Amino acid sequence: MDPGRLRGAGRDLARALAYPLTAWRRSLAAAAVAAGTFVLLVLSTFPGMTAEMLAADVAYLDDAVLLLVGNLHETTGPTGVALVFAYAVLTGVATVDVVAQVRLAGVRSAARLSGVAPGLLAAGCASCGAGVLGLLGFAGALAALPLGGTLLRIGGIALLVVALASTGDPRRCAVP
Amino acid sequence: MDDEDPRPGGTDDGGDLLSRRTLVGGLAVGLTGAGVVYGASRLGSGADGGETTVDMRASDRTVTLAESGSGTVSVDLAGNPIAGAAGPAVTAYYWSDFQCPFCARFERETFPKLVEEYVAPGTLQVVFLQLPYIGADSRTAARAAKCVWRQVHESAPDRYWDWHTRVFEEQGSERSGWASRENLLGITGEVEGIDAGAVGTCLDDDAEAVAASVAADRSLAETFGIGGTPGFVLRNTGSGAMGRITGAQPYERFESAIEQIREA
Repeated sequence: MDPGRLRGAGRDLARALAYPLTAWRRSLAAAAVAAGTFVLLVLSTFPGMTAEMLAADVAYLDDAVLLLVGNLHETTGPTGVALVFAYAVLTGVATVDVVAQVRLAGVRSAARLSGVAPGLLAAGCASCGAGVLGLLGFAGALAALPLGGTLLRIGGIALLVVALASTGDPRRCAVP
Repeated sequence: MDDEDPRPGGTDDGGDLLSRRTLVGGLAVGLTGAGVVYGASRLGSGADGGETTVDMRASDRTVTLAESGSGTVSVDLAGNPIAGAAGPAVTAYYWSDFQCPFCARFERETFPKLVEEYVAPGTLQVVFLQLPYIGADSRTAARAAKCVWRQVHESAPDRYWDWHTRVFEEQGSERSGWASRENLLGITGEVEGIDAGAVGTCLDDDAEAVAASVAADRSLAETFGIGGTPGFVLRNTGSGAMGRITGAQPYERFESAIEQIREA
């Protein structure tokens, strides 16, 4: 890749990542989406258990999250937890960027950010896949993937990063 | 969201990206991430339940768990270790994988209390079943469990509990090789009253039979929708009422579920 284009992509990625920090409300919105995404991903690692605990009493929500965060660390190590955290943060950033894009330039302009979707899906599925597959009767399917699905998570996050790098600051127009 | 709130420092040349707010924000995200990862590492290491003993027993019965239009679902107790006295109010069918950290957590934090509160008084019996899904070593460990039970079920059934708890105590990272045949036989050799050589012979000579027994356990798990470990089906021995618990849920959840099934 041309070094100039690479530098440009890096600058756009930094702008996309920094955009939610340009106002407190954006920062809080990104943090809220990231926190919600993290909790959802963690709970979805063992959906059967999550459903049983929440059906018994919603007050078990914190217990379920803590149990499953601990289990996520034991099954995937610090790398797995860090990847789920990174995915949650990127989802928060991408969501705020997409909303800003839509508000500033209309729904059609959001097509620029449509590249975010594959990354969101790939990383999200990899993060919750073990539990969801187990629920579907394919216990251990994700465990059979290289590094227990870690590579798939990395791939999904990479897609998200590429999508964000291609969009940059949603307030700026893309110049082909 | 407020788009009328531009940051100081301009928006056009990339230099603004290094503004104080961006740096502080990036630092906050990094520190939060490090905190989450560190916190997760602390959450995984639960307290040790201490030394627990339980009476194990064998049974030659086949229990019909459910009957429906599509057939009968039954479990052959002959090949499966049972903790607790005969004739309890509730039976727990317990599927585990020796490489599963969540199972080790249940064994460490919840099982000892269940033994103390329900198994020892004779209210609950626990049938040990295998659901290996974390690779070849899990299958080896499941077959070894069947071999150990074959060896001790008549003469010294309590030795199975010693072996079972010892293997979970020795649990390492998934797929790290700690549950290889060689290591498992090494662990087995350290459990008093179990002949590791005979377990090795069983793994070779009775491979087909023990594999079939593990497959039967797995098939039963699929019938009850147990998609992860630890997994439990609780059954009222008298009325046949059943319930399911999956995962290493807190003791209170087991207590509540057992009481519910007991009264059903």
